[in-house]
Amino acid sequence: MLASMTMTATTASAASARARLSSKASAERVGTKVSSLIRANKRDVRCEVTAESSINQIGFATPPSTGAAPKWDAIIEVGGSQQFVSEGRYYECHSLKGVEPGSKIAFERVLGTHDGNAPTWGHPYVSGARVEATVLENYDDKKVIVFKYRPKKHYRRKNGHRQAMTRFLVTKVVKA
Amino acid sequence: MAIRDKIFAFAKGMRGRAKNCAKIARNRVEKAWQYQYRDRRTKKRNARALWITRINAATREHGLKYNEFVHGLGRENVCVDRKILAELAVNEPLSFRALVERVKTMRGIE
Repeated sequence: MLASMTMTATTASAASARARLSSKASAERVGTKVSSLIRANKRDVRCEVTAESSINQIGFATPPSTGAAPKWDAIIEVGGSQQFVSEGRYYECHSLKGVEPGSKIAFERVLGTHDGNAPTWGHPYVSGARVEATVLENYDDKKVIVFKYRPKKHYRRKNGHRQAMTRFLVTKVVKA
Repeated sequence: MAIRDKIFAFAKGMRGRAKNCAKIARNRVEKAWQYQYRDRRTKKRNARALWITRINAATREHGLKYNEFVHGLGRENVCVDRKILAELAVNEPLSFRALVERVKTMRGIE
């Protein structure tokens, strides 16, 4: 699915900034573990992939209109929503605090796994399953205009809002 | 971009003078923003209602009703939410059926 992935390296970022990530307290608040922080090459990597529609929209998902249903390896709970994930694809979620691009994270709250035969459901989480991922980037979502207005009451407010998001690439799904 | 140009950019596709005349466009664009504010909230409600309808239809194919199915999931402590369940019901009927059968056996053979 990521066959046409091309990597473009951006400018180097300080390794000392990543050392600040060793505070696990903030990561555990979100339910993820920052298992190893420093990548071998210190360049930020941005992956540009063809826009294949992910079945995980933050709001809700609609079934694909054509073609086969997307294969999934696990269902994880991240960023306040549940998502299908499969290896080798990238997904978005609401921003995970304190996680910098290039760092590796693991999602421990796996609600179900699928190994090609039948899915395994967790009660509520599958014990021993985890999804390992690399953070691609922290970005701001498209701007949403928040406009409030009361007619005849001299009240109007206009604000813009860009939700902080995190894009992560799933590298490995451990199903046991 | 000037503010008026931003308004016109937002007013593309509107009917009549609303896309061409500044005063009218401003009114319609502000109305559009108000609708967006309201509908970002109703979108979540509609989505959940749609998921529930789909899950209901899928479970009734296998002899359960939605309320019985969800109650069974709660008893088993399966915390998969309705978005995921509806997606499975549409795209992976076999997996969904396995879940429904499991809930049926847990409640007693029906």
